Amino acid sequence: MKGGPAAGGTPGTAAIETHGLGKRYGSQAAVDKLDLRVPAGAVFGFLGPNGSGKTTTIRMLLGLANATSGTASVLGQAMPRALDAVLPRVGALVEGPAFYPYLTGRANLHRLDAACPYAPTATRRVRVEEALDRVGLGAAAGKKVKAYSLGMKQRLGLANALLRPRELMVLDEPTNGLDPQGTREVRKLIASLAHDGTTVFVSSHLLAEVEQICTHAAVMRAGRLVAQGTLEELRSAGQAKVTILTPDAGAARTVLARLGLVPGTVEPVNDGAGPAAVTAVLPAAAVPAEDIVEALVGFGVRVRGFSVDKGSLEDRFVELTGEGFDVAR
Amino acid sequence: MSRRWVRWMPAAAMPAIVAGVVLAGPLQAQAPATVPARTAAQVLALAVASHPQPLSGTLEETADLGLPQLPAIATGGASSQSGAAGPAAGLGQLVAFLTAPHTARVYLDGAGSQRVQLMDSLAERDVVHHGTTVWTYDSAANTATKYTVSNPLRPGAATGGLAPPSSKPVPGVATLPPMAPHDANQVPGSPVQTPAAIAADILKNLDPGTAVSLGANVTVAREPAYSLELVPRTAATLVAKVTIAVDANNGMPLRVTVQAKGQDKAAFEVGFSQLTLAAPAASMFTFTPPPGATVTNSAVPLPQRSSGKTLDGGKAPVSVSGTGWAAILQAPAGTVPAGMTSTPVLAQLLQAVPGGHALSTSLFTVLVTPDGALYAGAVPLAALQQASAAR
Amino acid sequence: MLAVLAAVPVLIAVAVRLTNGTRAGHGPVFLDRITGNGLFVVLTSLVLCTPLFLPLTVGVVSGDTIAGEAGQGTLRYLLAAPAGRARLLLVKFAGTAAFTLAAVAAVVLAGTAIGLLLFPVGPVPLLSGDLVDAWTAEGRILLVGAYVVLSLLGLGAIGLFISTLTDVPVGAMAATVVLAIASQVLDALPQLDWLHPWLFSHWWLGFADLLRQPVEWSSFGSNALLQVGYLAVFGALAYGRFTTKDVLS
Repeated sequence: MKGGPAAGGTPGTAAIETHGLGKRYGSQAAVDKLDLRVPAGAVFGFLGPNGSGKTTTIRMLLGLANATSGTASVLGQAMPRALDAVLPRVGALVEGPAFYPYLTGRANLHRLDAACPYAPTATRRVRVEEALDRVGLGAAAGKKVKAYSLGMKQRLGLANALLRPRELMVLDEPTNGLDPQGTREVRKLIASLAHDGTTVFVSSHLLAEVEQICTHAAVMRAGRLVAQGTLEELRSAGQAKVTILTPDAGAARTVLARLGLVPGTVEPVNDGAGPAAVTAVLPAAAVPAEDIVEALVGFGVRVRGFSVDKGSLEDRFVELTGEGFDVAR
Repeated sequence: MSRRWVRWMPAAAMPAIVAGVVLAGPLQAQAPATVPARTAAQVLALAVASHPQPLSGTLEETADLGLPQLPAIATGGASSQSGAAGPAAGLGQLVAFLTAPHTARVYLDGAGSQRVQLMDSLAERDVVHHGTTVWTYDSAANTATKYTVSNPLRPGAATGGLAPPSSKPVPGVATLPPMAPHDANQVPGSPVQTPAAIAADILKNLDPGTAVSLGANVTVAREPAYSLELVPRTAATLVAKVTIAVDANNGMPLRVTVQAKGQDKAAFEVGFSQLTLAAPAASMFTFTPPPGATVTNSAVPLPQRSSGKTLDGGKAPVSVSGTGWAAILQAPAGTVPAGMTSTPVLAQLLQAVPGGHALSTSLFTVLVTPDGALYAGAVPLAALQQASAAR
Repeated sequence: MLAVLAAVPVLIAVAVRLTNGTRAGHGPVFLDRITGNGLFVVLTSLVLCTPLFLPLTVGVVSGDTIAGEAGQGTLRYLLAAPAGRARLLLVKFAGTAAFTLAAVAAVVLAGTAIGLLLFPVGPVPLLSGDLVDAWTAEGRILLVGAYVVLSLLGLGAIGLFISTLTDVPVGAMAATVVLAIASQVLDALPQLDWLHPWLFSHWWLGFADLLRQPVEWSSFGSNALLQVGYLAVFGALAYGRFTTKDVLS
């Protein structure tokens, strides 16, 4: 092993950095011009709907697939050139666990550990047992993997990634198939890894998971990176929305338009008997919210209710990835 | 992308390397040998004066007579059937012999003891000649036959070359240029003869009808050799050229190549692929039938083919018409049993022509008339038909 | 698979024992010699196994090497370990070679054992008709075994290459076995005799040359050269393919 686990934890350096990374299959781009930067020590959520290029990106980062364009560096070294130097420092769970069904969980870990020429043989037995205990598989380690449930296999996959102290963990959908308790344990595991200074790169299509455990996130959509940054940055980049409850919907829209906002549709409230709700996106650079009310009142719009909603991460996620929305770049 | 290209480099280079190795081998072997300059007459004299050498070597025999090629599966069983002697079995072997290449190991002690091992696939046919005894052994049939020959140094009992002793001597065999019967190079009863034996036959019948010249020197089985070229002057024969590779050191013929007219590939070739000029162990010439083998003591001496060239155990005397390369062998009516031409193996080879059935190869032709007379020679079919009609 | 291979000589020996032998010239080569000498059980088995059973098992094992891991998904974890692609390829080929050795050893050992058990053993007649004592014969048999192992290495390399082409192990196995059969069919067609020396199966039954007196080494040499050639070409192809391949399974 080259360098200690602390080396990856130095703030300011990037554990993963890509420039213009792309992967084409024929004429179709699975990943396109990806500029990803995962700061060392971060717990990085890699979000995106199924088929958005997350797993392809992970395959390229781990040297399993060749990029058709661009460059990638992991732990400061170019991939896949420095593959042999980098991968021993990286623990990975890629696209679900896979094991030899006729071997026990323990034997599988021994085999995988033996596959790496850099893994010290002397400590193998101890490391395997520790990894099994860490994912709660100590009791089931003697069973053949074909008798494992999906959740147990997922845990065994995590144990494989934990066989050695790692500077970077790449976990593709780590909570897939886990029961709620298992999911909590994985979250705790990731937290403890992060506490030890390991950079954790978690891909997921589940927003809640990312929101709970990550410090940073990036969002993929159709092979392109549409946002990345700290969770706080992502949330604040989300567009606030102003909602006005008024009987004078038409007038309110005019006023909003004059203020440079783009009013949305008018939604009737209480079957159209009462006031209607007029909404508009409120960009950060737009007029302060209080000025809007003043303007509305000044134009004689009867304001029954007024609210400004800061976008949730979920809104942001849907906004970035959902169909029918313009992707802000 | 350049990295990917580099990874495919070995795959691209490897076939080239293999091709290089494969091509370099023969090139090295064919490096022009430096041998004393000799005239054609001197080489001819060298060859004629050469004595049988003690040697062990491997002979490769190939024939490309323009006959239909049969899959190995169809003829492969032929050798195992030879125990059941019969015209069909013998003919099956003949077909195999005429179409398939053969490899045989030859051991000669130079003093009359001989052993030929014809190496078949997963089987072997042996002829061991020592003193007045000739053993033949067929491993596939697990049969051993003991023959007695008159004189070790003058066997006089050589077969017609291709036919195995247990089966009927077959027409067509004798149609190679007439061979002298007495030669210590001959291995009695052997299906494969040495280049020396064949060359001796050819050279002893050399007459002014043959133009003798020298070709470019060659290397045969690592031995530098002169290339003696014999070209028939007559246009009446199918033989275009006979090339004899004569060992530059001891005059021993190392390879005989017979070229037929209108065919680039040699019609018949037998030559050493490997040769060691040293006496083999004496144990090579002692043969004891292995336990379990069917042993036959043949009362009949090995089939004769000498002064009175015979077919069918000497019933029918054969006469010769014409001379030299264009000679035609004639066997009178009744030589070929009626109905034999319709046996399956023969039917495959023979074609009905005016005046009977004919076997036409690039090197020789055989005509069987309806009354069982047989004409053969290294001549076109028309010559045989003419001879038949003239009778 | 090893058990099945070991069963071949046992079946042959028991069948011959029960039927009191066969006539010469019928059935596979050497079958008729078994009653006289138990050591022929091994040779008969090898004659039977070399064209079919052994290539079948070698095709299965070599076709499974990479494609099996890919199909199971374990390939990505091996490569992420990192096992190193060239190293993995080498290990897999070594495994195939070791299996080939074990397969031939199974036939030879089982054949020798059952032959000693059911039939008398004594001096062995070779193809040339000469007798050699049983120890020399066993030495020749081991040589034949080594020859057969060597013969199958080329096929192993082909299987390894095919295995890098697909993620479906059964496909790779079937393709390898089909190639082994196709090569033998082509080898039997005299019209293609220019091709014959280039077919990897061309020398498969050439081990008979080790049973002549004296031993004819030329086929051993030619076979070794041919197999090394196949090894080099298909090994390089497998390397080129596998080290540039996208592992997507």
